[in-house]
Amino acid sequence: MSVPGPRIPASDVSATLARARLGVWPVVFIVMAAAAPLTVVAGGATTGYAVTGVTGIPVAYLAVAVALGLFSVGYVAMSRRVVNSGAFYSYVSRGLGRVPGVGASFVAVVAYATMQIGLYGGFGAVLAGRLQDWLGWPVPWVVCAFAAWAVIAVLGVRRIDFNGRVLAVVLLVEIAAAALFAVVHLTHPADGRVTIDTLVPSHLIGAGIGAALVTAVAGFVGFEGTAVFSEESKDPQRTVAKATYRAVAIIGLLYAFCAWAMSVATGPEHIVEAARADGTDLIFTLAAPYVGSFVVGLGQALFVTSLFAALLAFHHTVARYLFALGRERVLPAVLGRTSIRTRAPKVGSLVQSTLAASVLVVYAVAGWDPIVHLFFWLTVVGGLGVLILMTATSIAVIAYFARPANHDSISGWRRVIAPALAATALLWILVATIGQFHTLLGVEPGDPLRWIFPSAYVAAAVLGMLWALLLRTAKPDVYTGIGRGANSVTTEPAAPSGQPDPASAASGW
Amino acid sequence: MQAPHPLAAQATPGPAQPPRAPRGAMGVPYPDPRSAAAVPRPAAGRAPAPLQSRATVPAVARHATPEPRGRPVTASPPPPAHPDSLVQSTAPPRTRWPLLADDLFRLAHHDTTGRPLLHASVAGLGLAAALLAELAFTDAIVIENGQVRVVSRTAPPDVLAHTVLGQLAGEVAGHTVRTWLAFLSQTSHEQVALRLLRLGHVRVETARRLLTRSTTYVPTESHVAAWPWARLSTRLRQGKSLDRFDTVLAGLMVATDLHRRVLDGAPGHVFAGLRQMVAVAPPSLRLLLSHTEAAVGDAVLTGHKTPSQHM
Repeated sequence: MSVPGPRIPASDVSATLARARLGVWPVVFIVMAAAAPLTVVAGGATTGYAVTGVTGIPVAYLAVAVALGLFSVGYVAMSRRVVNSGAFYSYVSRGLGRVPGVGASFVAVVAYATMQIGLYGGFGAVLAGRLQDWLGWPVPWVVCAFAAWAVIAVLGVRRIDFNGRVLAVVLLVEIAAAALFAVVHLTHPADGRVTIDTLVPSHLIGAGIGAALVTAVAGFVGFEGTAVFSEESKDPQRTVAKATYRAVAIIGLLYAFCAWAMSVATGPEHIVEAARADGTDLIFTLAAPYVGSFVVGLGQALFVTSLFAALLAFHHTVARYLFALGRERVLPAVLGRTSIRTRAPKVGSLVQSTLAASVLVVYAVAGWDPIVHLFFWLTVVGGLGVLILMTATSIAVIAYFARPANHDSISGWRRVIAPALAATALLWILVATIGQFHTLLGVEPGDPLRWIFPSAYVAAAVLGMLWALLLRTAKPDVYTGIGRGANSVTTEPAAPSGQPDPASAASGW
Repeated sequence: MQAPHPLAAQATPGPAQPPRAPRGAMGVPYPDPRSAAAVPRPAAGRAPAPLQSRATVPAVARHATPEPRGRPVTASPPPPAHPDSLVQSTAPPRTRWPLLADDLFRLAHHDTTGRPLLHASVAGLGLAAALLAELAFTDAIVIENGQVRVVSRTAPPDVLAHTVLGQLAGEVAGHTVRTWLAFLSQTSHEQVALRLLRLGHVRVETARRLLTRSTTYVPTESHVAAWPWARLSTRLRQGKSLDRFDTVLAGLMVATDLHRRVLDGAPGHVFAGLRQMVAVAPPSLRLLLSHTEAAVGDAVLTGHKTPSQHM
């Protein structure tokens, strides 16, 4: 008796596996939940106006959407060729080499960790404000932040994530609420006329635009997660590409529309002072006279849940980055451990929780402002890190496809032109941002803080590259696996080819 | 003849008891599948390595009690009768199949309650790898360049292995190990549980919880269920070498992170020793193990396939 030979209509395997794969919209929902629209519109845009004093925030969102759309072209094209495709440093490793790759991985960890910790400030302050308004409880923001921290720390090690359907519903309600408030703002303009002053492209060459642009970049962070699904999507050629473009387009239009609507409601010349007066409540206070208190309350509640969802999403992102690097053994292998029962990247999660707790304690003791100094500063500094990564990734895409072996059947637009345009645009944003970093922080041009934050990334990158050089000589097998994430384990040479395997022979195999 | 297990003749320390007597799948030896009496080997196979090279196994013990693993296909196991006993295999009689997936299943579940110790998706991938390992172990398939290639279409004596080999051989376009792992992992847990159920090693318990119904496979005899754990844990902690079956089983344990549970509290050199022992597996199995570890890691990174874990 023998097993039958190949049968013709075959591939049971492909058909069965295809059923479990994701379509375009599920991917869009998963990544947009991390981008947390209401967090950005109610928190990022308003604080952006207040801190930078730049009125061109809406056009900055549009400009960044265009730049990231261009970036996505090459990013998506390369995502099919790299393993561990959710992580920017994998692209840098493949395109520019392993040494810059490790540098990028360190920058990525710092950037995402900073961004996640910054969100605690937003959550703590906003929830404390709500408790005061709704219940009259005078709870300090740091207590609210630590409450969220405790929940996130537990959810992180137990790998509990929100259900996809729940997320999709919350996301749609959030988008609907943001759009509704924007429509209310637009229908009640200051001085009775709708202006498009804040959408004029001339802002893009105005003073302080770098600060506005990096604020906008920070709002988009999370969209890059689409590439994680390149191996799990229905059609690897199209699903991820479509999902990425849709996510960027939806995010860009929504943010620009809502930020513009607020400026219409206050009048473009008053938006900055209004934002400074009302802070993250601006979007609600502008609409409050015209909608029921229930709608405002719902919007405020959604703002809190949106912040929480973003906190959890970025916590998982940091934990996964640390896990991937631990699995590669670029960072200590202990980070590559998971909880056996729940499959959570336990150690990575604990590391991030510990870091966050220390930062929160420092802020609480020093008495720094949770919205400006924690939420805005750290999320925007995180955004700067992601901007650096995206710039490096665009250049890596060009370098990768420049090798003759890699550019089969990929059009010139996707492998050279779009990535080059993206790299130029992102580099310009990066230069403008660093040149105007004091505007972003709202400090004097001579303040040392403006150099401290950006130089943290330089330090991370240099440290990473030195570490990579060390690995190259000390642990060549680890060096070979750089950028491959969980797959680095398969890079170990299986056996010296063509020769009997001495290890096996000695052991009785 | 398979080198016997020293533990079979001595008391096992720790909570697990050694099997009282050889019985059923746990109590009967399986011969070296590479020996002449085993499954016919592919022409391209390597020469069987001499068993005498296992210097650490005492020569006396080698002729003592037989290895308490494996299952005789034509023997009469405890009721219910295994469907395999009805299969007229062309393989020589007394061929035994290396039931790696059964032992991994035992390692991945609590020995008395049957409660799963691993996350469902990791258990699925591990058991899928174990099913492939059974075929690679018996040289029915080889794994090279990340692809699975069927080299022997001889029907395996085990029904489940037969099914899996049929699936592997039935695909015109070959697939990568990762694709096969993903595919087999969808059903591997249930399939292996059914194999244990057929032999009476587990019984089904269904519990109703709120809206869902959960099925637990409770071991019928906990000392049998605890045996792989006791065997591996003891040998590894004592720094003794593993036989070929246990080497692969240990590799599967590492790939699914179960070794941290089995070797809980053991000093670092035990873990290092384990990695070294697994590294001597033949290339096909080593590739399978590393791809399994990568698949488990990737499942952590993408991780949306966890419906049961969502709130």
